[in-house]
Parts: sequence; C-alpha cells; structure tokens
Amino acid sequence: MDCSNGEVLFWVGCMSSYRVPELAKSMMSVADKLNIPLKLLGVEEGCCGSILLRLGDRRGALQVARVTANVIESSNAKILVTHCPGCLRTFKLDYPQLGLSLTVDVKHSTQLLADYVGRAELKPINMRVAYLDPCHLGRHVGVYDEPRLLLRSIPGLEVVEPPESRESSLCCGAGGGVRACYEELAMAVARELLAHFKSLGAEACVTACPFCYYNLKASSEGLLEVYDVLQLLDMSIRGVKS
Amino acid sequence: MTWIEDLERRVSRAISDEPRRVALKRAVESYVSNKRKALSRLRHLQDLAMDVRRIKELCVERLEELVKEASDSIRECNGHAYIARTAEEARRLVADIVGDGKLIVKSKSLTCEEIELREFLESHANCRVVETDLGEFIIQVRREKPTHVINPSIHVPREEVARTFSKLAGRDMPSDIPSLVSFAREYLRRFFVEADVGISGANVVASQTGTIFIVENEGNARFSTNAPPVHVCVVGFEKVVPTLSDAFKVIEVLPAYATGVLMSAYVSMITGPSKTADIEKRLVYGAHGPKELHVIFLDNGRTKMAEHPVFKEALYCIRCGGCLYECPIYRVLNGAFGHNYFGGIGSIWTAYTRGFENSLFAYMCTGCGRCRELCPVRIDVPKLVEELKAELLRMGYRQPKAELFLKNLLAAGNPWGEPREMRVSWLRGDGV
Repeated sequence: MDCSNGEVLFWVGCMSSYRVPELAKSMMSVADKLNIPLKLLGVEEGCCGSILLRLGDRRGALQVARVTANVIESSNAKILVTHCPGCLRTFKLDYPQLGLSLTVDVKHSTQLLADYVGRAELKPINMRVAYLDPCHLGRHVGVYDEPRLLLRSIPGLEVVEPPESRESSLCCGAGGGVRACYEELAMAVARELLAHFKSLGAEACVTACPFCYYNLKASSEGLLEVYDVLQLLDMSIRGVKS
Repeated sequence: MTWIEDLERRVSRAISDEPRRVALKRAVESYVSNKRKALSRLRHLQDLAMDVRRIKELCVERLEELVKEASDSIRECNGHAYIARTAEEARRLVADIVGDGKLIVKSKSLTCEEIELREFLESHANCRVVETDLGEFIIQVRREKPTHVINPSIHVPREEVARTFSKLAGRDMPSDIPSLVSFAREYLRRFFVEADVGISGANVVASQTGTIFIVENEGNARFSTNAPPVHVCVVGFEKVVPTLSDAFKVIEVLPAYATGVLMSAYVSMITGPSKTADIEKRLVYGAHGPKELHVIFLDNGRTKMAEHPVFKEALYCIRCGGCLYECPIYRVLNGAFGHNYFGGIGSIWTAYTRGFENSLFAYMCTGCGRCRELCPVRIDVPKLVEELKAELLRMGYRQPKAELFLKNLLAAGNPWGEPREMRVSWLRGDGV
C-alpha cells in the first residue's frame, strides 16, 4: 500500500477525540515511528452517526451521515483509517444501506499498521495478555488476524487465547447504546469479562476499540489492567513499559 | 414510573440477585461444556442445521397452507384440529375442550406460557393444572415466571429448590439434587394417573401426516400426553414443516444445541388418538393412550411476523435456547432479560405475541452478534433487534439519550455537545 503524499486520512472518531484521547495519541505516535503520514480533518471531523443507528434512529443518523460523508469525500483521501470499530462498521456496512457511498477505502487502524509494523524495531514487553475481539471489529466486519499479528510482533508479550474468541468472542457490554443508556449493565458485563480473563491467567486485557477500552477501563478496578493494542504497540516501539 | 425508569430498576435488581447469579453460573458452565462435547461428536450437525434453515425459509412463505394441510391430516386420523388467531381465542378453545373443574397435567410449553393458558384455566374454568416438567413444577410451586425457554427454573439454585420442596412436603428436604428429583417424581406420579386431560406443546409438526413431535428428557411429556383420556396440544404456526423427514432434521439438530446432549431421551411422535382394531377388526379409539386428540394451531402474530421482510427471520427459531446461555447480557442479568421470550431473538417474539410495549428489553441488547454466530440456523439477531428499536422509536419509545445525542450531533458534531474546537485538543496535549 502506498501511503505517501498524505493519502491516508485518519478518522479519529468521537470517542478517541473526546473520551479516550490516549488512543488517538498512540495512533499518531505509532504512525509517526512507522513513517506513515496521516492526514486529519481536525475540527471538521464530525460523527459517523453510529450511536443513532444502534438506537434505532435511522432518520437522525442519515441527517448526520450525509454531512459526514460529504466531509470525507471532499478530503480526497484514498484510504480512510479509523481505530473505532463502531465508525468502521458504520462506514462499511451502514452507509451503503443508507444510500451513501464512500469512494474512499475504509480500513481499521490495525489493518494499516499490520502492513508496516516490520519497519520498527520492537522492544520487549513482558506481560501475559488476553485479547478481546471487539464485536464491531470481529464479528461485524471480520477483522480478527491483524490485531493478533500486531500483538504477536511484540517480543515478550504472551497472548492468551480465551476459549471464547474470534467469532464466539464475548462482548464488553458497551455496544448498542447500552453503555450510554444502561451504564450499570454495561459495567457489570465488563467486570464479568475481566474476571473471566483473569481466571485464564492474563495480567491484562487488550482490545482494539475505544468503546471497549473505555468501558473495560472504567470497570477494571481490582481486576485487570486494560490496554488498547495501539498503546502496547506504541510502548513497544518507544521502549517504555508504560 | 416511566418505561425508562422501569427498565433501569429491573436492571439493578437483576444484576444484584445473588442466588440467581449462582444458579445461572452453574447452568451456563455445564451447558457450554456439554454442548462443546456434543458438537464435536456430531460433526455433521452444523450442515444439517443449515438444511433446517432452508426448510424454515420455505415454510415461512406458506404458513397458512401448511397449517391447513396439517389440520386436514390430523382430522383424517380422527383427531381434532383448530386454528386460533389470537391468544384469547386459543384460551377459549382449550377451556371449551377441557370443560369445567378438571384435573390437568401439563408438560412444558412456551406456547402455552405465551397465551398464559394455565392461569386462564385455573381462574376461568376452575381447573387444577399441574406442571409436570421439573423446572416448570419448581416455578409453579414458587409462583414465579420462567427465565429460559428450555430450562424455566434456571434461576433457582438447588438450595432454594430444597426450601420450596420442604414447604410443599411439610418436612425438611436435603438440597442434594437427586433427592429433589425423586421427591418430584413421587409427588407428581398420582396426578398423571388421575388427570382428566393432558396439555402439551410441540416442537415440530409434519403437515403431510399430521404428526406431532414432542422432544424431552424427563418422560413427563410422554406421560402427560399418554395417560389421560384427552390430549390437547397447543402449537405455533411456525412449528409446521411439510414432511416427516423435514421434522426429523429439526429433531436431530435440537438436542445438542438445547441441552448439550447427543439426543434427547424421548421423542414422542403422535399421529391421531390411540386406537385398536384387535377385536373383530372393529376400530375403537382410546386403547391405552388418549381417546381424543385436539391440536390447536396458534397464530397470535405469527402470520404478521411472516409478512415483515426483516422480522420473518425470527420465525426460523427452533427454540433451542442456546443463544441465551451464550448471551453476555442474559448472563449478567441472571436470566431477567425478556418477557415470556428472552434475549435479542425473544424481543422480536415478545413484540409480536405479547405486544411491542413489552419488548422494550430490546434496548438492553448490545447487538454484539455472538448469538448469530452460535445460532444453529444463524438468525441475524442484531439486525432484527435494530429493526425492532427503529419500530419502537416510531411508536414513541425513544430513548431520551438518543434524542439528546441527535440534538448534540446536529449542533456540535459529537454526541455529548462538546465544543467543536475541543475535538483536536488532544493534539495540543491539553485534552487528557
């Protein structure tokens, strides 16, 4: 993939922009170290409309999505990369359903980074982690291998495969507007998941989604450390433990 | 209390119910490991399940026709067949057939639960209805509602069952499971013999021959449909398939996904009432089995569901209930995720059979899609649930958050109404 000349647009997404900016920063840092120039839309970037769709409001979502599709199309980027599986799913699966077609090639951050990770010298992180396939990334869009490839490229990192993984992976509890409308429920699901991962001998839970990361981290007290793949990759490239 | 507050309260109560949590955890663990073993032994089952899906796809397009054919076949072998368009019609029909003040033994049936048949017969026909499935029996004695389509008392741990049975028996019962099972066996036995009527559901019906299939492990359904002189079966339109071979496919797929066994202990196939011609070749009905067989085909929203381009997929459900054990939300809510029908798929069923106003639990579904992957007939539950949410929204059940998000998105480009310029504050390093 050729990504010189600012052809790659990094769609940050609302969650990473406002709620978990550490993931946006990790993405920028990793891309910088791997020599991948990323273009940003800055304040022009809006919302994909996913949250409205997940709550059944198609009309509202269409209003939002029309504006967003225009902003993306007029950026002239060839590749759009996002770390948010919610945005990814919405662009790839829902926009065509809404009658909106993006000409840009939409990818998940891990798909982009998997092609370039060989450029960096990765330093060890000695930790045993279990990877949680985010629902929107795995089951909905079919990206299972790239996040694992990135994790396996980090020396010292032991990746535990839970019995429920890939297609049958568990859910963090945040999707479908549940985190927004029933926080107590979303956090109870997250705690259940983290306790389960802990019982598998993992020291940390790793995900590749700002929503999972946000919900799991908020629910992690006394259970497990929570990381995003981007954070571990950034730590490994920079050679810092945390 | 608004519907939103009601849902929130139900979530809080369900999450913190410790006895339920213990019971459900035990049940889920044993189901998951048994199913894994069963599916690894029966490797052809996944392909066979897709055959079942194709059969169901065809059936849903011709529900009325199949029900008519099944009714004709049943009448041909001297059974009675009826069509009930609504729950009320079905209840009235059963009450008329049964009569006043009768003793009834009943085997587990979600369809009977759907129309609240037991409650109706007790309150409107002065009948005594005894649930004979162990799980149903437990919750009947406890005056509770089922929490699972296959295992209705999944939320009751053995210690609680012992307490319930102790009260019933008037003596202290130990909480070891075999003793509890043998108490129920002893207690229920006389009811089978004395009952005037046996009531059951059915797992599948072959329309060509009018054959009803009832799958079970306990033997109570066989007893209830065989010992009393009258058998009444209430079955949903969607259970009818054309041929015996089609029905066998459903029966072969069901047990492994439902309870993790290779095959259920008993499959009763019933084609007409019991009969003999052993004396002078003269046909007489009611030899050792029932003299009368009455089959009530229940529509109650099913034909309407079949007309909907998206929701018709819910009719493919063979009701194994596997998706519930596997659902992260069902697990955490300790089974309190539904209204008669449970989980994401259940929200569609509840909407059509019990009213959309009772299907609001759909908002607790994260749309994760784990059930779609583990469903034998691969029903696209997230898609169905999202369609239901859209429908609920049109009906005025809009999450207040959704309204707020839309307003904020249109004004500020993010769901929380944060200032637009703050979107890039993380770039400057002051956003954390």
